Amino acid sequence: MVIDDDPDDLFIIGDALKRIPNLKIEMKPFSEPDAGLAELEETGADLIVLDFSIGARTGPEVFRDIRDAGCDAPVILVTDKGDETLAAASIRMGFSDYIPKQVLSPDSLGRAISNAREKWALRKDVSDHQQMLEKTVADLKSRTHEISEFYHTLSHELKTPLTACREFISIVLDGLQGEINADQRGSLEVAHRNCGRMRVMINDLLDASRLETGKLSAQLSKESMTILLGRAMQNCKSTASKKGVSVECRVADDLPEATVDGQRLLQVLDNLIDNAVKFTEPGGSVQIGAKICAADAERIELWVKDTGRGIEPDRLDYIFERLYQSSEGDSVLHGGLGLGLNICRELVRLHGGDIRVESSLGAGSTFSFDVPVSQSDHATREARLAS
Amino acid sequence: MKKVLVVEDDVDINKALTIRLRAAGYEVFSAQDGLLGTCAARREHPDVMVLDISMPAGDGFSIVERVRSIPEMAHTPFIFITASKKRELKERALELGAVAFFEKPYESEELLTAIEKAAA
Repeated sequence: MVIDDDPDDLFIIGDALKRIPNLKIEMKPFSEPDAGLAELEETGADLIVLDFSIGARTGPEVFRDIRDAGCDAPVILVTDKGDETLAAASIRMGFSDYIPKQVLSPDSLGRAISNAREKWALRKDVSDHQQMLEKTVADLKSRTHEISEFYHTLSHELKTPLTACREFISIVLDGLQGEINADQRGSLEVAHRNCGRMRVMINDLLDASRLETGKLSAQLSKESMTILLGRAMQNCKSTASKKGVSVECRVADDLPEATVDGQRLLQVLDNLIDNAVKFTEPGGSVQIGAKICAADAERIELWVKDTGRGIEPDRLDYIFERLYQSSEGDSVLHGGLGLGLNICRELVRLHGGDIRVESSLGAGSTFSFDVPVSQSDHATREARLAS
Repeated sequence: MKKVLVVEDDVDINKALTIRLRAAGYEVFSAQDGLLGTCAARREHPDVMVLDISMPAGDGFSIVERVRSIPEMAHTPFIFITASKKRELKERALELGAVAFFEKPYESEELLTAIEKAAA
């Protein structure tokens, strides 16, 4: 389509178009922009050559109307005079090319058309890809939401029968239905313990899913690290003593209370201590503790140190990644879903802190993490969360 | 003897709670959905209610809302137990005035302590 109000120019452009080699073209000339726009809406066009000045209207105005009409074909601007500023401005506006009429020839017009079509094809390609990406992102978001809902339903459905199992085992263990002998007690204790393992795994599965979808947030309150570590000591007491691993706790005297989600930090500590006990041989020891960070007095560092088997250096970089198991045999030997350390890292990050590990093979590992004493710096926390 | 109403739609958990509470010396009434739970509460005027949240024919919250209008039950303490981890459920339970909230699988001892405290 060619839109130009000067009949001579229409003829010259038409003639040049006809003489472009290897270009099959059907030209539709219009001296009135509105007639051209009506035709565009009716049948469309593959390419538009537009005059800069058409009666009372300018090429850029008509160009906007063309785009508003939903036509995205390449548009080449032709003008009476050559002007570098105008050329740059027209390209910025979205014209595919710009040709002053004094240099208009089959050659220059052919080059402009060829460039314009190539540019248009590339732009369309980019736009198609962008649309495809946007759709993929939307699909993924919806899928993530579905998966998260599925995990929630799954955990609900698994917890209900697990509760019944655990309760009936407890009822018999507690002697509510008569005396039981030592062997029966031993067997029921194994069943009860395994219900506990299953509960941990179900909760891990749900936490991992909620962390990924951002549905898990920290419920902050002032907590004493001495009390928190005391609870962690209490929680691991039975497992550690059964295995013959000693656990000691060291909390610095001058430690202030910290604004944290106590339940979630305890979950991190329990998980790290559970691993430490799991990978330490009988006779070994685990030390847990808390102190003010050496590098930053506004942060508290907590640690769990063991004298266990240690971690291979090449595995240290991946240990906090999801579904990681410290060695291939571990999932078989020690069970677990490989979510625990990943959940620990995410929960620490939720507080605006970070978790680290130092380890040497055969000499044990030290997991340490830091949390800010106060959570007033929400911006930092949110930024970390977003990252 | 203090009366406890257990409303839980899972038959097995309902039975386990009933056994445990009877052994602890309570008179136990139980129901398996929101509607029957509300009827049982109106009829028995329990000292404590132990309520599941998600149930057919009215959830645990609706039982509390319905029985509160009965003068004798305006201050009856209630405890929720749920398999859901949704925080909004816990928030709503506490807003309604629940004396305790337990996630399944719960620790029986902790639940018994909460019931004992509520019934005192």
